[in-house]
Amino acid sequence: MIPLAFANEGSLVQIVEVRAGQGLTRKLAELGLTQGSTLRIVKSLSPGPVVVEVVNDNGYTDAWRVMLGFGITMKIFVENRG
Amino acid sequence: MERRALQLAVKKFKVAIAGNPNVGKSTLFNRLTGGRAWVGNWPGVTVEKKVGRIRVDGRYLEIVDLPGIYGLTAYGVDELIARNFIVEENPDVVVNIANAANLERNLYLTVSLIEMDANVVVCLNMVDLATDQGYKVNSEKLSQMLGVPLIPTVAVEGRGIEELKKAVVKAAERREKPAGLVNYGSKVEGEIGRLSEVVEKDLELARKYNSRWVAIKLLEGDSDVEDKIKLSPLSREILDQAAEAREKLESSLGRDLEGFIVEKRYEFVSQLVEECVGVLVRKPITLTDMVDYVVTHKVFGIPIMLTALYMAFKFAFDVAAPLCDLIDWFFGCLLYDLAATLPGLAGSLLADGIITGVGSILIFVPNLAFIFLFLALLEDVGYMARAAFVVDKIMHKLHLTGKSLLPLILGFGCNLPGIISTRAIEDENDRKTTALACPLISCSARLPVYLVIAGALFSAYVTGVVWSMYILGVIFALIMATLFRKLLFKGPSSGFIMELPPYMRPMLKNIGIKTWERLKRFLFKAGTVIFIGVVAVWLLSITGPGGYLGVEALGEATLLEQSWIGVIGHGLEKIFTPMGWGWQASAALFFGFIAKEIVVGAMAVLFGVSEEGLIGAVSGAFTPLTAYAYMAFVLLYLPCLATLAIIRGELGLKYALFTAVYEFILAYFVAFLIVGIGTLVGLGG
Repeated sequence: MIPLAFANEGSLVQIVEVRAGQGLTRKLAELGLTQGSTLRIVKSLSPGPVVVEVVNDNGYTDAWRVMLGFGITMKIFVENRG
Repeated sequence: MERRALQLAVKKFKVAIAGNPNVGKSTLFNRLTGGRAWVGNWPGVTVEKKVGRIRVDGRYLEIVDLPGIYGLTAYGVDELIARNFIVEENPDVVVNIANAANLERNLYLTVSLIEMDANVVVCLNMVDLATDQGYKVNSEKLSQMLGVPLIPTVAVEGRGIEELKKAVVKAAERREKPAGLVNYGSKVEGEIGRLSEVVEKDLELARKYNSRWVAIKLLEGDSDVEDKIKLSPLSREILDQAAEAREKLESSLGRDLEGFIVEKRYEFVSQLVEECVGVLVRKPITLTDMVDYVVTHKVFGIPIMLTALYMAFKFAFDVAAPLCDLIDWFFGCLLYDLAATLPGLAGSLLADGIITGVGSILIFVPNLAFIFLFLALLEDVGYMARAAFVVDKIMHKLHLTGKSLLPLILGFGCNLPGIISTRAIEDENDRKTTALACPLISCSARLPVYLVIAGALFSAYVTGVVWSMYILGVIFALIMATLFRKLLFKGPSSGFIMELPPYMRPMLKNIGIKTWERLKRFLFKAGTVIFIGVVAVWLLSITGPGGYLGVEALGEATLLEQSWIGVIGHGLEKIFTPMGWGWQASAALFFGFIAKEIVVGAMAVLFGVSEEGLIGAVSGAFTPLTAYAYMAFVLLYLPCLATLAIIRGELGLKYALFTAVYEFILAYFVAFLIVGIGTLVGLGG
């Protein structure tokens, strides 16, 4: 388990834990970033901010990208999925 | 009876536009209102509220542009504003603009709005882009499944706007029962049902809110809704029941209820997308990907950003230069000479006071217009979001986020729009920090001062010396920001989350509106605060402790020395003894408080020379060392009057005074150090 800030560019990761306050956790959940979601790291200034795509259950990714600042990427813990 | 008849004669409907950021909300708003809108603030916060009014088929529609949001959790000011508007003000129709190329994410908000019992009309925007990207949306089926009207549009080109207007009027007059309600499963639905029955017991609550929505929000543990319930006489019963239900459900589901509810909503949305959206082709690598590969590169990202910004500024200044000269001529020669023909006091007030003062501010309008234009262009195509990403890592080390970038960059043009644009920073502490550090960024009004002084004393190194001022400004802005964030506005940041939209073709209208909105602030301030300041200084120049001196004082150094300005100058000279600045240079600083470039004109008057002869006078009055310290002092010493007025307006009087004091101390300290260290290492001669 590593903070999202350290994930490699181009890799697929799964969120294991979000260690943030209730407000931020809820906001992230609404964006589809919650425990168990799979993300593709589009861009990473590792360690630093990242740009991610959410991978849907059917394996497709949205045409939607979100950037998460360094502060937040240190609060999201992920596991590598290839 | 009579009132009723009147109401029937002219029907007026309140319409709100809600949608995710970057789906074309402003474009739609401008299209609907024809760009005619008035801007205010939402009550209690400094987030802009845009309202426009149009007439459709004999009905008035009052259209309110809500902030861009992803959901209705009331996390962050934007979501709270949008949600409260819909819940409390009960608009007749909520136009939910959704990006057809990205339905899954956008429909989450749609479903949340329907759940909230808003009268939704979906505006399915960018249908052309969706087709390009290989998505085919079956809009009739989607409309049917959601149970709300759905109009496909391409807002950029104005396609579908008329149909949308008609659909809004129709929906306002007759509301269909929506079908698109999320089913949370029998266990949760049972509790929702029981809880809403309790909520309905309070007739006031039942009248104001949709009880099912209140029940769901209570199960989610939404503190804002809990606060609303606390006002009810039945609050005890409702909240107890909610807590009990939540506990029961969490133990039987074996997980947190909040996450479960969000997930169910997403499941429902997925189902909608699966049935209504056909994927034609897998999306290929886009132009956006290729450009992003370069501009967000780990190593090259920041150099590219600096180059792009430098080019934008350089170009803006070069293009604007002839226009600036034209304005200078217009005020400095034409209007001035015209006003000077007026006899006596009135002529002097007009010519020496108002025209010279306001004119010297307006000279910057072309510069600013072009800078703002280029920055708006960079924002509109989507580059500024990338720039914020590449600097986030550095900003994080300084205890800020990438969001502080744009205000600081705007500050190079003029500090005013820089400070105003901090409104986009959600985190209050980050916002205040950025706003207070912004005046240290060297705005374009400070450049003439550097040019004259550096020209007089550093003839061979002017460019280098001027650049060093800009760099000094950035360094001090970052140092102070870090200190403020660590000492004054403590606490964790709520973080930086921003959507990264694909690059877009720039829209001239959007760019024009954004540029004008920023420029307008500057003009407004020049017309009010600076006007008053100019008149005050004029008065202080023609009167002194000995009484009225006459308007001749403005042209004669010996007479001017006896005016209040002379007195102030001599007073300031004492304070600045360690730096070795004369009374003229010291008094000029006082003028610079109105607007920094006035320092140059004031020095000319105080030395009793024309602006052309100023170089000679300045080179006699300073040594290179004291001149450099003087430039650094001008950079840092006090925000101009207009900047202080803006800080007062945005953050309050306390912070305006604080900024004035901290900047003065900082400037004094830095100038003192420059002279002190310079003398020690033998540069004093």
